[in-house]
Amino acid sequence: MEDHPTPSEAARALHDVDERKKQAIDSTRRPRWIDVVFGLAIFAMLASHDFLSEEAARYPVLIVDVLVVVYSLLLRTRRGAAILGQPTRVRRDGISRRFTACSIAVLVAAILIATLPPLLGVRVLIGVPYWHTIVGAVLGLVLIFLGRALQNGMNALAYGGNRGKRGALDGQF
Amino acid sequence: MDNSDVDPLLLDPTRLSIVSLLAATDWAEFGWVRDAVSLSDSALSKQVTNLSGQGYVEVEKGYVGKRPRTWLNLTPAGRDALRSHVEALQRIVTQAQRTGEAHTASGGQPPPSKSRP
Repeated sequence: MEDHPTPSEAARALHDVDERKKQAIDSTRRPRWIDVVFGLAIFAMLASHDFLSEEAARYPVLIVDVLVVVYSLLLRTRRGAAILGQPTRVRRDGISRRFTACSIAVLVAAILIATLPPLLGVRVLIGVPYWHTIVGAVLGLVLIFLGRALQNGMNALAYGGNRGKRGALDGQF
Repeated sequence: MDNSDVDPLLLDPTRLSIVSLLAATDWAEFGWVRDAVSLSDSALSKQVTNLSGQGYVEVEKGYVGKRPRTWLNLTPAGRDALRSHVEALQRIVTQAQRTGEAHTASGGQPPPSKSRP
């Protein structure tokens, strides 16, 4: 490319900028072992309600809370992320609003599903023996076996932060 | 055609790729950037030296356990340079599209000649 790129060279360069941004977002894929650890932790946390006393069942919950906090803190530092197998930290302004909105919607839905039925007196699984264990197994297996697919879907939503805005580094024209 | 914001350093496709990757991140590991742009260690080092010489990229070295690691990040100057460069490229493409549309609207009459400098 010379000092004055032709329109086709410019278009190609803009396309490359856009593709590189997607590549950076894709780099946030978690290693499989993290999904396995969290899947097992969620299973242990829920199953403990069926097999341990009320008092003892608090500890697995506490352990999962600590795991989540430590994981989040490690991801914020270069060395911590390297330990977790994350080679990059994606900038917030590179993530689309669609992704943020979906994340919040999923979070709110999860909270509502967990809190509303007991508050309304609806006890869907109360008669099912070992239902905590069953729910824990389902959630754990989903995370372990479908975690990668779920993250790919989330990453696809994350493409396109600042897209179309003036000066956006997205190669849109 | 106004190409005044086209950054000569970023006209190189490899350097543009490196800067574009870093633009979407707060930081990235050297090894990941190397694999992403399919370069050797030495070739990426050379490009990073060029970019850091212009103040576009910062390099931080450290250890994770006993293994040495290098992280790269785009400086605010590098981010501004990329933004201006992308805007200039967008202008070039937009102008070409307008010229093409005008050419079509005029029934195929050739547009005023603009030879490449």
